[in-house]
Amino acid sequence: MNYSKKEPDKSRMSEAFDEIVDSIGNYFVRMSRYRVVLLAHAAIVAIVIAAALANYYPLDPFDQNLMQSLNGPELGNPEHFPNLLGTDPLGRDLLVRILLATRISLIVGILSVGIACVVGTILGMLAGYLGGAVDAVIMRVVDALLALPFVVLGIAIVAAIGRSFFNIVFVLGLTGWITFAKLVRGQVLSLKEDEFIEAARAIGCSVTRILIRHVLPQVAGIVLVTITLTLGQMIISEATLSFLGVGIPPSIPTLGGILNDAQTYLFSAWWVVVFPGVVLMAIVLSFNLIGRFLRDYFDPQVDI
Amino acid sequence: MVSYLAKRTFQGLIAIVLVLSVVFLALNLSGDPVRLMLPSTASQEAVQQLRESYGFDRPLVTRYVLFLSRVARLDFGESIGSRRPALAVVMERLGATAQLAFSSLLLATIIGIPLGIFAAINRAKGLDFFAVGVSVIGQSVPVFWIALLLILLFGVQWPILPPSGYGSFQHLILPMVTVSLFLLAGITRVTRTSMVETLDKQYLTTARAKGVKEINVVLKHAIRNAAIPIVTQLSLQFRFVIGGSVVVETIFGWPGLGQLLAQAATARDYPVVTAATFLVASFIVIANIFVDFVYTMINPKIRL
Repeated sequence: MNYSKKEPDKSRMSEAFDEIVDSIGNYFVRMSRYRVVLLAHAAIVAIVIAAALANYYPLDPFDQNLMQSLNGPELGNPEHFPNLLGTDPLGRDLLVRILLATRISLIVGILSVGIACVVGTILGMLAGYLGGAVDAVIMRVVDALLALPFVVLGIAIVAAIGRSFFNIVFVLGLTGWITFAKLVRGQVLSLKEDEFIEAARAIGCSVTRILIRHVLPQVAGIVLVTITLTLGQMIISEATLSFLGVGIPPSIPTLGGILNDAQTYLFSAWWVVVFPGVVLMAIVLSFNLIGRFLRDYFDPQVDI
Repeated sequence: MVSYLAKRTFQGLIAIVLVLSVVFLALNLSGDPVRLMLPSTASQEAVQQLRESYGFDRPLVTRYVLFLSRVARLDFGESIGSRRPALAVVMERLGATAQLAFSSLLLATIIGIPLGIFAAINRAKGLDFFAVGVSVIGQSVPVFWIALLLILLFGVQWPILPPSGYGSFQHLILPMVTVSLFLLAGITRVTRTSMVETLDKQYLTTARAKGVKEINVVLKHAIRNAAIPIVTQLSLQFRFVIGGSVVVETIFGWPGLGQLLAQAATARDYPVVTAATFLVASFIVIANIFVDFVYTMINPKIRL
């Protein structure tokens, strides 16, 4: 028999590269068809760049000046000029504090979604594929976490373990993984009966190999959609805890923390209430719009 | 049916026990709870005395068993703040929270379900865009910011409603509107999706072909079939109603469970935190079992 020679790796690499370029191009074409979705992508890019460059902003976020306390955002007034969005109760520049807080929001969101996604996907695959006792145990834990509103669980745990950056990420991850686990489990339950999985089992693949090589690629789309949609929820949850005074410690500026301070000055300074909230909404709205678009992009049948 | 009820009750009990275990663990693994309960100036003897009276000098497992056996007798200990049984302190606040939660769930349902239905009937027209906008934006705005904006608008800019307090109907309006705006997004979205799917079904085409008026097609044939996902969504909303109330109560000075929980968490009043967590979890578990019975009323094919 005349086996053709195996193609050299180089051309396979470039084929794979072409495929990736193609799919990215395809994504951009589909995305730019919807103005709102395009705008959401642009907003996220702009917000991430602005937050990343917060350190280079000419004003200091911690520089207190009580003489400048609660200056309104008046562009025409030369005395107020450098504070584009006004100042907070301690006379610190609101814009640079919002930029810094945005960075914290994004970091907390990404870290906690990372934890939630890894834990949730693994447990969801195990529960769906193995079934039986493993499934029962995991689903009872999911039930337990669903029996409490996130805020209540968050308050109870933070009250006990204290306020710190990592404790908040932990609490968010602890509550976030159930969304991933439930969705992945549902997908795996139907995948399990498919012939290619049966074939893999028949040729003696181990459970780990089946889950990683055969199941994971199939659920990757839904996981990516869930990551985007959960990111917004995590950012809102962190802001809520910080607003209630059980979130990130007050020494670090956060959008929820700024709004908590603003509550006292509701009757005199609208800008400390409005601007941080608008930024928060812009971030979450953009992620939600991208998530909804991704859901249609990958699988128009799944409703999350 | 009885065996189903027994199974669900058992699963619910496991969920509640797990929730309480998480709170217990968080409380006990995070250092000496007695040290946290007393001021730092407390004498060594006072610390020792309190430690013994709470049983904190015994090993963790013994304490856990003791904790569960006391919970089984509904004994959560005394509130550290008021020296009264913690459960009694929590129960006092139940009325105010129930008032807020039910009125806002009612308001959101009355607006959300018709809005979702009309949006589905007039797909891709003005009202539909409005409904989709409400659900996307509603998902992206933190509930506490809605509260602050409403106070800013109707308490400060046009002072027509009391910005905080409890007692009269005027006091209820702002918190109720806040929580229901938060719920409206989910209810509208699910009603719309479910109706859109149902309206495409062939049995509705048959009904129309028979000459059934469009209004009867929607009211008699479609709504009942679209109802299951809507009811499921309503049952999921119980969690958000309570979560939203917890946040909103602290802003509007509403003397309910949420305000108590936030105060107890800051004051490290653990018996009250545990009792409140228990009560909320039990309520949600019972509500979810109740929803299963509503399913059988909507669709007689479902047998428990």
